[in-house]
Amino acid sequence: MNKPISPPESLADLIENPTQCPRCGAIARLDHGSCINCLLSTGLEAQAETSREAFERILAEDNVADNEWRLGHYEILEEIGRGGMGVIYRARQQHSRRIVAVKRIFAHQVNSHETLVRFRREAEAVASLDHPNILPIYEVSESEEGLPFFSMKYATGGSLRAAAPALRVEPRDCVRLMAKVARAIAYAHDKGILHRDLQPGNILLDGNGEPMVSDFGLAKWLDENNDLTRTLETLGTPGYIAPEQAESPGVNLTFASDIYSLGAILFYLLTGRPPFVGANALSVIHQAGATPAPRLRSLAPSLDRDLETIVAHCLESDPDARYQSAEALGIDLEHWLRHEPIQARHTGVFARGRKWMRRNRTTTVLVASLIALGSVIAVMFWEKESPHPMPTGIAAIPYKSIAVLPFDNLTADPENASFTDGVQDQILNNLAKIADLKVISRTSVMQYKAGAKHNIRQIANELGVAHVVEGSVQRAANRVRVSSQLIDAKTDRHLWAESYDRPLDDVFAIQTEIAKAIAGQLQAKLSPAEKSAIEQPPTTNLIAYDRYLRAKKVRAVQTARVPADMREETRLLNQAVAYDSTFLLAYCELAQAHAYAYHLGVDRTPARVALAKAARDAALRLGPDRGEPHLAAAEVAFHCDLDYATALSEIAIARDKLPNDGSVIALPAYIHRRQGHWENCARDLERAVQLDPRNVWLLQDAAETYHHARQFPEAASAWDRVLAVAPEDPSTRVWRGLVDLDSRADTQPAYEAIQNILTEDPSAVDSIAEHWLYLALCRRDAAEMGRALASLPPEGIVRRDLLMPRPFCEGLAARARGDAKGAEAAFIAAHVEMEKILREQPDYAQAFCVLGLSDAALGRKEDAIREGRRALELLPVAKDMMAGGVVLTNLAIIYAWAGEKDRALEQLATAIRFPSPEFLSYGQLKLHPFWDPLRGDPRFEKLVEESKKPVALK
Amino acid sequence: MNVEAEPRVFTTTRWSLVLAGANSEGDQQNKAAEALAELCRTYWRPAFSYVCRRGYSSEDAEDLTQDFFLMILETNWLQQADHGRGRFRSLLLKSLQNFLHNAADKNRTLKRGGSVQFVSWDAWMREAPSQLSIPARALDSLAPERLFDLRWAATVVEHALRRLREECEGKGRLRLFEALRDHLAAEHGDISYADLGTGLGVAETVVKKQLYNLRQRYRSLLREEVSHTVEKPADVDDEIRHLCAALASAA
Repeated sequence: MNKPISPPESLADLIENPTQCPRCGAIARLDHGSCINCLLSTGLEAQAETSREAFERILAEDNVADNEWRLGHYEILEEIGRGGMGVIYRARQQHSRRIVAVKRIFAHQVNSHETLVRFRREAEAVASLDHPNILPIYEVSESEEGLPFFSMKYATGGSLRAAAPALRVEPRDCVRLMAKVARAIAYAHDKGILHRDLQPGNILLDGNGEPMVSDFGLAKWLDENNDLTRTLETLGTPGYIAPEQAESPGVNLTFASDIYSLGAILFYLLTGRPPFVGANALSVIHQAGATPAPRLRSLAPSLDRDLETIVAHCLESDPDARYQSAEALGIDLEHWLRHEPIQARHTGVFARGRKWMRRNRTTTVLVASLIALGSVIAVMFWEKESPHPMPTGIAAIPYKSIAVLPFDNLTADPENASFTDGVQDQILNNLAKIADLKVISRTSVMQYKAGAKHNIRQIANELGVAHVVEGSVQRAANRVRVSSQLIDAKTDRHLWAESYDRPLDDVFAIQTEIAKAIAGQLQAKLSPAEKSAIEQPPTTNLIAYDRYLRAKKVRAVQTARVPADMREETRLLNQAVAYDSTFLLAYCELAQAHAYAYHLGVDRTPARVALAKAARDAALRLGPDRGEPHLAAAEVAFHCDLDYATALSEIAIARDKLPNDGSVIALPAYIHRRQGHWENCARDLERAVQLDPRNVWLLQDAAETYHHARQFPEAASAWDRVLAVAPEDPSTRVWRGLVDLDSRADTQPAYEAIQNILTEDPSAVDSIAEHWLYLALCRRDAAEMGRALASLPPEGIVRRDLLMPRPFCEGLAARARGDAKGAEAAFIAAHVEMEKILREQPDYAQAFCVLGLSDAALGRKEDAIREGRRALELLPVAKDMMAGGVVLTNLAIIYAWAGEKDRALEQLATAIRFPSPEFLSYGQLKLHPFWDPLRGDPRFEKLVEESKKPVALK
Repeated sequence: MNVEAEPRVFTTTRWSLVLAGANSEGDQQNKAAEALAELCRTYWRPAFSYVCRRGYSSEDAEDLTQDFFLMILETNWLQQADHGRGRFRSLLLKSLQNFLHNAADKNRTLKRGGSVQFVSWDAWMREAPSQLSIPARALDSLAPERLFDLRWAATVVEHALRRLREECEGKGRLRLFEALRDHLAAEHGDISYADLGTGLGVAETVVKKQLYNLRQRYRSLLREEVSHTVEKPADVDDEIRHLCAALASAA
C-alpha cells in the first residue's frame, strides 16, 4: 500500500526549456506537448457536439482500421479475437511471409514503464519454453507508439472453448487432451514458470486437434496491481481460478493454483460448465473457497468414479490437498486412459514437492507441508549429529496452549487487511497477558496466510500448541463483523465459536470479549490484574490505531532492517501518537524503534537516544503498572546505554505482566551474550524459540550465537532450522555456507549459495552484498570482488555495529588485488568519511576501528594504533563481549598491517579466546587477506590451529 | 431532470446527484454516494497536489489526502460543508483547506454516515498516471490554490482524452486516434492534412472529416466531464472559463 510517489510526480513533471503555446501563450502542457489551455478552451467553441453513436458511425465510414497496421515486422491482416487484455490479429511476418498470430495489449493496461519491462521479461521467459503442447511465442516487441505486442504460432483449430461441445461426447478424448496439457504445464513448472490463467480460452488447438497452451502468466504483469474484481473481469470467467487467489491476486499463486485450473477445465470439458458459477466474479471465487466443488458424477452420472476422484483431487480448496505436481496429474490421467489404478485414490498422502524455483520476489513461501517436512528433518538432524544437546521442542504440549492465526479479511477491499490484522493482533495480545496460557508469539503465526484453508493439526504441531484460534473480519462503513472460533487441534473440533456484528467503535470491546471467552473455554485462570489489562483498549482513535498497525507491519516485513523501513516505521508511529497522545502501545513501539535504529548503527547519535527515552518516558507515565513500558525501558537501556543491570530489572517487572512475550525472554539472552555468558544465552534463546518457533530473527540469532562461539555442528543444525522456516532467505543460505568456510576453510558452499541466490533473484543482492565481498576477498577473486563491490549499497556495508563505507570496501579490494595506487586513493577517501562520522558520533568505537584500519593501510602507523586502542577503550570486552570481540580482533589486524608483528600476535592470542562476530575463525585466519602480513610466522600458524576449537565459554 | 435543448447530452450529472442526495435516504442516497465516490476517484490528484504544495512530505501528503477522502466519503460531508452550493471543485478545495487546518490537532475519529466502500487508494493512484508538465520556475511560484486548479484542469482534459481514446480503440481506430490526437485543438492552418493522409494511407478529405469527427466527440466528452462537477448545464461554460484562467495565470 505504501507505494511512494517521487516528488516530481506528485506535483508535475518539470519542463527544461518551456515554450509558450503559439496560440494562447500558456505554458502548461500534457506529455505529448499538447497545450492544456487550448484543449480546454476548445470546449467553449460554438460547434455542435456529437453523440457516441454518431461518432462511431462516422468512424466506421472510412477504412482507417487498425488492421492496416504494421506492428513491428508484421502486417496485420484481420482481427480474430478481442479480450479484456488486448486484441489478437492474424498477421503475416514480413520477411518469411509466415502467417502468425499477433496479440496487442491495450495501451491503457500498461500503466507504467515498469510494467512494460516486466511484461517483456516474462514474455521472453515464456518464449523460451519449447514443448509440443505449448504455443510457441516467436517474438516480443513494441510498436513505434510503444504498444507492446507479441507474435506466436497461429493456431488454426480455434480454442478449447469452441471445441468443447464436440469433445464432451467422448470423455476419453477430453482426458487424452488434458493429459497432454498437464504434461505441458509440468514442463513449464519445471522451468519455474507458472501459467496463472489456465482456462479453456487459453488452450488452443492446431490443425490436428493437438492442444497448445498459450498466454502463460502474461496476464499477471498487466493486472498485478488491479484489485480482484477488475482482474476477474479482465480475465473473463473466473471459474478456473484457484480460490486461494481470492485473498491477494497474483501473490499467492503456486503450482497448486495451476493444478486447480487444470481440474476445473477438465470438469468443464466433461460437464459443460465450470465447477462454480455465480452472478458475478467475486461470488464465484468466494464460493470456490468456502464450499467443496461439486462431484463430477452429480452432473454427469455416466462417468466413472476414478475420473471423479481425479477431478476432485485437483479441485480441493486446500492447495496442499491437491496433486502436488502437474506431472502427477498427467500420470494419473494416463493411468486412467489405460484402465490402470490411479494414485489419487490414496487420500491424505502428499507427494514430496519438487524443487521450488523462485522466479521473483512475489512468489510465496513454501507450502506448509514442505516446511513441516523440513522441520522434521531438522529435528532428526539435531538429535543425531549434535554433541551439544539442543532442546528439540518435542516436549509435551500443554493443554492450555493456543495460537491465534491470522484472520480472514472478508471485505473486498484489500486495504482492509491491515485492520483485520489489527483485530487478530489485539486478540492475541489480550490472550498473551494470561499467565495460565501458553500463547504463541505473533511473528510465528503471521506466516500462515489467512484465507487459505489451514491444516490445523499440522500448524499446531509446528507451533507446539493444543488449540488454534481462527476468525474473520468484515467491515463496511461504520460497522464491523468479527467471527471467531476456537479449535481443538487434535480432534479438529470447534470448542467455541461466536460472531459479533457491531458498530466500528466497538471493535476493541469485541476483542476483549473474544479473549475472555477463549480463556474461559480453556479454563485458564484470570487474575484481576490480567482481567483489567485485557479490558483496556489500546486506543479509542481508529486512525491512530491504523498508523500503529501499519508501523507494526513495516517492522514485521523486514528481513534485513533497512534504514528506509525504520524511518517509515517511526514516521507512522509518530502519527499514531499525534492522533492519540494516550496511546501507550504506540509509545512503546516508538521507543523500541528508536532504540533499534541506534543499536543497528542507522543513527548513532545522542539525539536518537533522547528520542527513544522520551517515548519510553511517555509510555511509563501513561502506564506505570503495565508490562509493555517496562519492556520498552529494558530495550532502551540495553540498546542505547548497554546498561545491563537496568535492562534486567526492567525485564523482571515486565515478565509478570507479559508472560507470553517472546522478547521478554529473548532480551536477557542477548544481555547474557554481551556479558559473556554464552551458555545462558543459548539456553534463553531456545526458550524464546518455544514461544515463537517460527520467528526467523530469533532462530537466526540462535544460530549466530553458536556460530560466533565457533560451535559449528550446533551452528549448522541451527542454520538448517532457520532454513526449514524460511528456505528462501538469502542471508541464511549464505550463513549456512559460511559454516564450511569458518570451520574448514572451504569457500565452495558459500560461493555456490551466493551464485544460486543471484541467479534466482538478482535483487536479493542487497541482503548478501557484504558476504559476497567478504567471500570474494577470501577467494582472492578480483573479478568477483569487483562484482560484489558494484552491488554494495551507496552507503557501504552497514552491519550490526560496524559501518564500512564504500571507499573502505574498495580499499580492501584494491589492496587484496595488489593495486597499491587504487588502495591508497580509496583509503584516503575512507579516512575522510570516517572522520566525518566521528565528528558527529565521537564515541562510536567501531568507527575508530575502521578509521584505524584505513590509516594502517595508508602507512600511518602511530595514528592507526592510537585509533585502534581508542576503540578498545571505548568498548572493552568487559563492557560488551560481542562488540568488544570485534574491536579486539580489529586491533590485531591494525598491528599486523602496521608491521607490528609481535603485538599483532599477542593481540590475536587474546582475541581468539573470545567469541567474535567478525574476522576470526579457522577459515578466516587461513584465507582472509586481513591476516596476510602474519602468514608464515610459526606463532601465527599455531594460533590458526587453535582457532579450530570452539571458544571456551562460561 | 434538466430542461435542455439536447437532453441526451446532459444526463443527470454526478454533482447534481450528490447535491440531491445530501439530505435524503435510501436509493437516492446510495446513488449520491456512488456519484461522489466516482468524482473523488477522478479528482483526487488535484487534492494531493495541493497538500504537497502546502509543504507536506510525499508520504504525509498521501496519508492526509487519503484521510481527507475517507472523511468525504464516510461522513455526511455536504451537510457539514458550507451550504453555499458551489461547484464540486470549489467546495472540495474549501473542505480540503479546513481539513488541513484541523488535521494537526485534535483526536480524529471517523464519523458515521454514508454507505460507501472504502477508498481504494492504490487503485486510484494507479489509474492513468498524469502527464502534466510545467516549467520549474512556474511551479515554484504557484500558490497551492493555483496548482490545485491547474491540476484540476489537466485532469479534466486527460480524462476526456482517455475516454476518446477508448472509444476509438473499441472500434478498431486506435491508429487513427494516435495520429490525430495532437491536432485536436489545432487551427486549420497548422496541420498538414496531406502528410497525415499519407501516413494513414487515406485521402486528405478523409483526414479532415475524421479530425472534425474526433474534435466534436472530444468536445462532447470534455463538456460532459466538466458537467459532472457542476450543478446545472449552464455552469459548464463558466467552469471551463475559470479553469482556463487558472492556466493562463500560470504563464
